Amino acid sequence: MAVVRLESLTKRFGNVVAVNNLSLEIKDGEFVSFLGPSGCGKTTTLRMIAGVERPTDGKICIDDVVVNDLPSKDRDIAMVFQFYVMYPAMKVFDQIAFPLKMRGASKDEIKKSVREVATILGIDHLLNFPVGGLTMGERQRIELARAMVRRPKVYLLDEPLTNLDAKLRGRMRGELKRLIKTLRTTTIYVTHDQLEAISMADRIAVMTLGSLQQYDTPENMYDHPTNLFVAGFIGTPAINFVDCSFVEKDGRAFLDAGEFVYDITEFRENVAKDSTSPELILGIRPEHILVNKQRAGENSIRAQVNVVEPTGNRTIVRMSVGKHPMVANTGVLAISPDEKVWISFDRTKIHIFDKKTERMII
Amino acid sequence: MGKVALRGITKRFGEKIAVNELDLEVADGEFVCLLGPSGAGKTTIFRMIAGVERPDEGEIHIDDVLVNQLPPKDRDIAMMFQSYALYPHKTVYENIAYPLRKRRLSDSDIKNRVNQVAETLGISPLLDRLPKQLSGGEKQRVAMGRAIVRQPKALLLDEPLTNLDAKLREQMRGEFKRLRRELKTTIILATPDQLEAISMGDRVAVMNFGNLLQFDSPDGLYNRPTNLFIAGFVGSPAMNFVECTLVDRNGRVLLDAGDFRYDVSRFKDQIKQQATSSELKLGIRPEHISMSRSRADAECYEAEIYVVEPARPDIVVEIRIGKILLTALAPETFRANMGDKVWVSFDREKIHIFDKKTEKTIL
Repeated sequence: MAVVRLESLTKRFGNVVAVNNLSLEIKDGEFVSFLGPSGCGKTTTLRMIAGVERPTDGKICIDDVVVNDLPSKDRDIAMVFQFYVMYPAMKVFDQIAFPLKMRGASKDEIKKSVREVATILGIDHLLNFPVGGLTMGERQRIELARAMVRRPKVYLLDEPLTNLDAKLRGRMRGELKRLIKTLRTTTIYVTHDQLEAISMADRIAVMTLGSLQQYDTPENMYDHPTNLFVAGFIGTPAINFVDCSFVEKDGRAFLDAGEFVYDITEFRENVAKDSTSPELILGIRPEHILVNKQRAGENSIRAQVNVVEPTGNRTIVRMSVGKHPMVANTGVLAISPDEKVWISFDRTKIHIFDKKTERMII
Repeated sequence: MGKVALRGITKRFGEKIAVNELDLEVADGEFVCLLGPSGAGKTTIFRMIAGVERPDEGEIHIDDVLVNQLPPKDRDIAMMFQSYALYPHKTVYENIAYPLRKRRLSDSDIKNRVNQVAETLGISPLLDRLPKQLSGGEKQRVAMGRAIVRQPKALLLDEPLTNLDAKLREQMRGEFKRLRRELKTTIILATPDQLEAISMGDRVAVMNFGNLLQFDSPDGLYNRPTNLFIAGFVGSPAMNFVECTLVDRNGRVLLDAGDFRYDVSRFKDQIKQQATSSELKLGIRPEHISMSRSRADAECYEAEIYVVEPARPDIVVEIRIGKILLTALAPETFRANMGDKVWVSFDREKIHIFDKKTEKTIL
């Protein structure tokens, strides 16, 4: 069992509040990602959970036991780094056995544990080989095996895939997710890469400047971001934001963006109730913009194509609606720069944010 | 004008052949990407075009003029490296002006050109700043400015986006493409990143171990790769490859992959003509695999969901047919759990077949 609970966790470095009053709970066996830009406090939080950094305030509990004063080695956690220096000549077996040797485990115990863990991770055929000369994927599994063999309560992973190139990272994500889910051990994974977090985690804690913005499933975070920051940070290419004003006319409600006007009558009540002023921001993700050569319906908006980037199975289309830049992410599309097109938004996918509070209304 | 032609270019470093009999023609104003992994020969090619490295064999022509003997400063080629070094004690203005000062242009000419370039690159408000006051993206634009202010015949960019983080890279790709339309300069950009190459280039030259494998439009490389390496290198998630044997059974021609069999009777003439043996590889891109809860038609295979990654806007699903692991792309509405059973089929129009021995494309 390993429930990890952070209660009002705070860390100050002089005047800088690196982690600001963070409270959240990670369920037993859950795979949670701490996600945010550089300096958001995710690594500091991880280090406090690991015990290599002392909180300024607040509590860290593992299975209802406050561990603030427990040294790292007594917390029953294992950290997996991104670039562990492995002695190239050392055999895989010895690499994995190392933490157990340090603990003074018997030869038999070591043999049994190492074999067991190596089998789960599919590297038992490599046990007698030297570490040098193995692939990135294999090294990653060895690194995980070293952590696993200690049978910790919690795994802490600090950007383990960061140094890999884009394609290899993509391939390793699936592997790693599967491995972690098979282990069923509580896991905390720190990353600045939103794609990694949403692909892998059960829940994500998005942070910026030390503060928690939203703690939710990837699906909810993507489809129902609670504020402008989360909406803009998650998703690539980034969500389109358009400044507009809330206007009511002849019994209908509109978002007036200057260059175009968008009918939002069906959302009128919610918008009127939850907005602090008529200044709003319309949000629409690139893949929810339909691009047509002909006008398609009343809510069609004229746009000019500036740049077309084919990405294989999709096409990124960068356009202008008057002065507003808009980015669409469509399927394969035969379209050229300077073409004039009609765009429409998937109405079930539009977001409306309050410009002042930055909070999501729709 | 900025036509660049390489004919029969070979470069050796001791025993190693860094570039092997390369023929490449870049048209005036074209944006060509040199795509290949580390060690493919991209930087060596750049250095030979720029004139800082001499080819062992072959000719380099710029605007139909043979330049092999011309020193770098007379070739009118601008090169921008990965680690563009901006002069730290000079302002942005002076950094960009530097090449023109070396050429002894008048102050007013320099001012005009620098302002024009700054305008094009969107860095006019930064002209008085020092490099240490600039963000990564801004520094890059200043480095570009310094390269293009000379109005070179061609601009060589050596992995310009490699040091930027993912989000900035995505933004800069669009920027580059937009910029390029305004610049009208011939641009050759080297990158190991296939997404960069196919989203930006008019044509892409795929290289590996010093050899040019295919020089084609992004669409050509993606949909009609000439060999296994290109098929697997271009596109992410990568094309799925399944080893199989060509078999005749009951009047039909099948690819036997062990855990499933795929009917290719309609291609039998093509395959039999071109295959050097019955050992083949079936290729299918993730977006051309469909999954459904019920068995749709005859050519469906039962598979188990291995892992689901909601890598929005796509959903990446790894499935297992027996021991064979495949990656599929599903629409955003797709919901499934590890271990669920699904029925899988391949888009008939989109399969590829490769000869296992020669690695060449048959279909």
